[in-house]
Amino acid sequence: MKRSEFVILIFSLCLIIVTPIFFRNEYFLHLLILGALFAQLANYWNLLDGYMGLINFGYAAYLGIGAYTSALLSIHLSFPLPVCMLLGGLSAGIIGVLLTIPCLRMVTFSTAIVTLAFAEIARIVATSWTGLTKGEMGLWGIPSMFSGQSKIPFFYLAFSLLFAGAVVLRWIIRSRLGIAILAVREDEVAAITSGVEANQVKLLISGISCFVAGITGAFYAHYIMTITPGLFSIGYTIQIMTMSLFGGKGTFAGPIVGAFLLILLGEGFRFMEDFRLLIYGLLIIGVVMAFPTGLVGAIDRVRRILWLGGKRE
Amino acid sequence: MAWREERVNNDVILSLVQVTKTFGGLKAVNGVSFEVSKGEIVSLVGPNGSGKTTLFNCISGIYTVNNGKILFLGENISHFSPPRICKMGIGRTFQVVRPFLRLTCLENILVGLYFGQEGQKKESRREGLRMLEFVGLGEKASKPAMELRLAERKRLEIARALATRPKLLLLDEVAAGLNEAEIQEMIRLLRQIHTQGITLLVVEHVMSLVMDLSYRVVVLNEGKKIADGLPEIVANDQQVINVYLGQSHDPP
Repeated sequence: MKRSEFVILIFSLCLIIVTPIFFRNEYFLHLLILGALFAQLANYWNLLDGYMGLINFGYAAYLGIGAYTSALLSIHLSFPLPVCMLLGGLSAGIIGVLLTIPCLRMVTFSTAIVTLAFAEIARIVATSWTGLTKGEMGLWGIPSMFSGQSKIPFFYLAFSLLFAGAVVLRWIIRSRLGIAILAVREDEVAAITSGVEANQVKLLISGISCFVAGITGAFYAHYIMTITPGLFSIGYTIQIMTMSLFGGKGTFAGPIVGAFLLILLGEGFRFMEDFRLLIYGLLIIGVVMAFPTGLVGAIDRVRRILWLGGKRE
Repeated sequence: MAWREERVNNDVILSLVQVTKTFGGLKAVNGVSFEVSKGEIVSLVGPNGSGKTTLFNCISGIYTVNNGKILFLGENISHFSPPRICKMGIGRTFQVVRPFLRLTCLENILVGLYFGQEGQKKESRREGLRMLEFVGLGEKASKPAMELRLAERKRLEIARALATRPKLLLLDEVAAGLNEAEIQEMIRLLRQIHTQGITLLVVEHVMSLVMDLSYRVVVLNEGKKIADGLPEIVANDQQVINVYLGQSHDPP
């Protein structure tokens, strides 16, 4: 590990520990918790799409699958919550792998349609299977992870998950597997003729990425305690993608920066009500056109121009 | 007729038996058979569209043959996956170069080192640097492949293929688009690779390279083999001349 990375690691840990001590505002903590959840989602969407190049326009489906699986298990079977959440993650991961199997035989962009359609199907199932999911009414009365009103335990758990997720992600990217992931993105034909088992890599990374989305969904369910089929909607997927693109797709810090910035900006834009998504759209277009590598990429370029030793991710 | 090719012959590294590949109604490769012996340099030549690159894609597993067999060291590999074929010891480069553009040169090599062979030991980074130096790119190790010139990209691809520790190296037009000095450089490099005991099968249009290096030349035309032999003999073969220069007619 480089020294600068170590400093960032310690600094972010301290920031996480200290924040709830100084900011007692529950609403602000709630926003930061949402930011952490979305940062995790943006990170692992970025692993799939940004690092490996497997386009996924239906990532919210795995969020929803994890949330519903965990919520239903805890309501009907009263499993311990960590078990429910783990099973929520596993079911999302398995479905993610199964959906990637047909995608292996497709041209890159076709997977966009497949994943988009899958998320829509999942949303319709969640809406129509009223016996199980209570349809549009959604599930409510989902057991909470922590008793009491305070958001501080949720805050620490959400940020621990984000922190662990980011460390694992960094480790994957720096490992041999990481080089295979990048090779598959850059040129799949060259990768397979150099010995990379591209299909296995794609299935494995899909599984990991969707597992994390499922766990995050489960966390959301047991945090908010109410979920609706809206969780599967394209709106969430777009939000996750926007965060990743805004901060810098294919960079490590990008999705985290993007998630927190957009959650906080999104709250700032709340007075615009229905125009909020329009602003998101404009932000994607604006940032992507001005900085194709996102904010982090742009900052990196400026640093390199100024000879401060910016480093390519 | 008993297939002579099916007998295990220790000297034969690659043996094609009646290989056929069709795309719809088009027979891109039509019943081609030939052998490559260990330590040989064999050139595969022929006009555009004669099936040379298709044949390479069949050997490296990107295409599945419709008919026939491809034997590598006596084993039929015609239905093996590209990664498996690579690990068995067949490396290749591409006519239109395909380096991993946003990876550094060293990372490009590491892909081959990590995944192209069974049981890679440690010290890969040093090994990768050594390989880059071998092809003359030692100074560019931390540069993204995007920043390389064409001649350098071709050498990078060769190094990536060498990193998989091939026994047989398939080179698809490594001299195309290079200037005369770069071609001479390439010939030198290929000779060095060959002296390491690697068998070369080369698709090439640059005749100076073909005549200079080849032990044997195989000529394809419209998917069929029309000649196979020593370079000088093939170059004077009437059918080959007809294919390349057109049919000669009696003067009016």
